[in-house]
Amino acid sequence: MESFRIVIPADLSKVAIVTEGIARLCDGRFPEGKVHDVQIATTEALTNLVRHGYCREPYELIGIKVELEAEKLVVEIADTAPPFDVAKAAMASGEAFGFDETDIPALPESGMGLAIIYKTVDHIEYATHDGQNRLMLEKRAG
Amino acid sequence: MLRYEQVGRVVIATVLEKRVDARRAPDFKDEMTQLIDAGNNNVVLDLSGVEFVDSSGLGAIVSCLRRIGPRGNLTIVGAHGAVSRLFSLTRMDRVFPLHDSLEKAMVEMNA
Repeated sequence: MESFRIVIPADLSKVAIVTEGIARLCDGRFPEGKVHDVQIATTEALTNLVRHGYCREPYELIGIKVELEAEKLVVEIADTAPPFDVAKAAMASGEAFGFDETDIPALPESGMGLAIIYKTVDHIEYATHDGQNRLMLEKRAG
Repeated sequence: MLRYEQVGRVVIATVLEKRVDARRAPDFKDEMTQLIDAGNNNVVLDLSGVEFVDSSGLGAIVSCLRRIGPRGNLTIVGAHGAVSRLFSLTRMDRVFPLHDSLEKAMVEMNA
């Protein structure tokens, strides 16, 4: 297994560092399309956290661990923002892509982040313990 | 973050940044809005040099299409890798046909 850990401030300008790190870790050793999915999911998760979880505390820190194994790629995001109800949020975003593509004025411009996460990774876990939240995103190679 | 080229009634807007994400989407939207509000309602958006778009960037592109409305069209060229994947997984590839060449995009715009 190969991995990297990084701590970033809750700042949108730092999100790219993480996705670029995922690309470097996986370079040629995990299916490229699945790496893209994990980059997309991780970006949405971090952006949601910065925008909503830490909106009042921009100087807080986010810990990220990325582990690459032969059969899976796992991203763990740890933060101390107010926890959120993942199941409820997922249900609310479930219809994000159910739009009528011919109805241009009604196309969604926002609210797609969580639905994108659920669509791009195979397994999600979210838990809060002693004030720390831990989001785990897992993508299988097969 | 955009470079413009006028070809007949069509404007080709080339994105010069590698990412159109939550950080950069507001600037992208502002520049595109100025372009559209200046009367350019037929726009080819060239994403050839873009390596990553997130939902904020995608939302900004959708906003541009909504702003153009029935007066014209917005089509995409050069989306690849993680960018084209985002369009397909969100079904936005049904809204924006993804062209692999500028010539094909221009054919659609001039149809």
